[in-house]
Amino acid sequence: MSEKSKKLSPLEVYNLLPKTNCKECGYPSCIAFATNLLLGKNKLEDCPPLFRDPKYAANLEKLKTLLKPMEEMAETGIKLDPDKCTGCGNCVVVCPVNVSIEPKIAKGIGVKRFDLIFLVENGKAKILDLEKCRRFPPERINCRVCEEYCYSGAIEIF
Amino acid sequence: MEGLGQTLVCTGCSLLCDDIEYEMEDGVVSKLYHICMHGYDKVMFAFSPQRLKAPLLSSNGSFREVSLDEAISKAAEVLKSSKKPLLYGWSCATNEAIDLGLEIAKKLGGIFDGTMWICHGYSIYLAKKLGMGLPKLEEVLNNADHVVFWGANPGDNHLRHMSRYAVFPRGERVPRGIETRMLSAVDIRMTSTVKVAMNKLLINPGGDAELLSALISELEGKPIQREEVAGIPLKTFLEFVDVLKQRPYTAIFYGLGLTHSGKGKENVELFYRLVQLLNQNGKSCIAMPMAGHYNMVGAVIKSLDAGGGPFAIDFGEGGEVARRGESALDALLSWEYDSALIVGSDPLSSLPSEIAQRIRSIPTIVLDYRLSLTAKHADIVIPVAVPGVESGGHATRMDEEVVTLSPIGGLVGRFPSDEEVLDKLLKQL
Repeated sequence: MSEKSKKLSPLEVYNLLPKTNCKECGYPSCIAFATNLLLGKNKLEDCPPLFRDPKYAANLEKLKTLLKPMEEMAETGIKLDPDKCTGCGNCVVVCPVNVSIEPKIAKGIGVKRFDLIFLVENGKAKILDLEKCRRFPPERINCRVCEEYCYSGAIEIF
Repeated sequence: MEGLGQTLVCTGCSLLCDDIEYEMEDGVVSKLYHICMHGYDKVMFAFSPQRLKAPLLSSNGSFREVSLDEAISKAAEVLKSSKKPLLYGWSCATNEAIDLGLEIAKKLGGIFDGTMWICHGYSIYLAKKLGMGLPKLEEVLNNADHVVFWGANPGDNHLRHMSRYAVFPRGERVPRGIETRMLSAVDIRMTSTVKVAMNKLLINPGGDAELLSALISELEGKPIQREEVAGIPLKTFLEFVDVLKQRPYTAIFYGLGLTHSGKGKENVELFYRLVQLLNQNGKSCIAMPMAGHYNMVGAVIKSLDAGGGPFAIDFGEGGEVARRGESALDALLSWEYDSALIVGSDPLSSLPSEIAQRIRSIPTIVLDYRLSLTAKHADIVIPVAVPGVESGGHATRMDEEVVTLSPIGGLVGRFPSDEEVLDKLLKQL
């Protein structure tokens, strides 16, 4: 399938964690903490030893750098870079939620509605209502079609 | 807000997207919906400070502003005193303007030529000669379960091609859109289009003919005995053959990568042989050139109807076709012409320098809405309306569907259209 920019894997995060499985974060293991961190369910600050023990200071800095792009993400972890976007509308039509809201979009026809997830305005796609994304609860589906078919790499999902 | 909920037809490319909604504020377009960035730039150029506003007449190395009437009568003088005018451009003009251009060429015994030769003039000509015509995009939307882009990159050029028609919409026989469509791309590099394709066929530069011949051979039941084809590993090649054999409806969109990669004519002929073969094998296969400029197809068809060729038609004194150029490049280089009327084109920027110098050395009239390089060196420049935004008329979409342009009401009449200027010009000849 399409080539995408390198994604953060839980293992990369795990390798920089204390790896002691101390459970202070509430998860049974450091790898579970790393996985949930990338899903946006917890923050780095939820790992007390990382901040408490100076021997993890260097790793903490690396983790902060590694996770910085996530700060720009919306809650489902979708980032749309308007500088890269060309307004092709692939995301508008390929998104199953957009199509379920406005069936005409299934035929490729543009419809101006502000209750959609994606809408192309002035030559650029915009994210309007991300809470409808299937990546949100209750579905929590790892749907990535918008990212997969984005020509320009403007859409990135963490 | 004025203009709320109205739509215009985008003339950014030959997809002619007809669903562009706009909003206006104080006589200026403030919002455009569903338009890609190419179309957005084109529409907004109507409000750009760089847009040409007054007719210009060159005198002593600089321009002076003149009235439209004066510019047109000077243009008529140039054309009347010319032995053989060249009428060039047309793929960015409406069907009505092209008709008038042909009429002027016939009346003056001029050469009618344009950008059709650098685009899909020859391929459309061949498709028609083979009786294959151009299928409708809606037919592709509803039926094609295998879409191939060959030497074409809609991901950078025809930005809404996949989302409006060919790949992502849900059609009658492809109810789940991309989930039921296979997408293949043949190119020499990892383009935006290849990136999103499932079958990526990255061939050697100039390898189209080799790949086409190998595909034809396989479909004729003569298996290939090589380890690779045009740089593609045999396994990938055979997988592509299987998809072609198995999918009931293949739509192949081809671009200049196929038609202008050194062996253009040979490639196009082999390509249509492949299309015919697939149809003979019980599959539906259609092919469509990815025409670039918004009325490229209109210009080619009108040219074919008027002179039997897709470009380079030399009209004799009685308006009959005196000769047809096999190559517009040769015609522009070697045929005699002593003035030029250029409509919506910038040959000084895009043509080989020998031709550009020839055009620069003769009296030139340019109809455009921007001060192109050609306009900068012209003798007479006439600003015209941005088609589809400030003026109407008809244009022919890449699938030969004639589309009625729907300009923005409040903007019509700010500038004359190509058609209006050419009509006034013709009346003075």
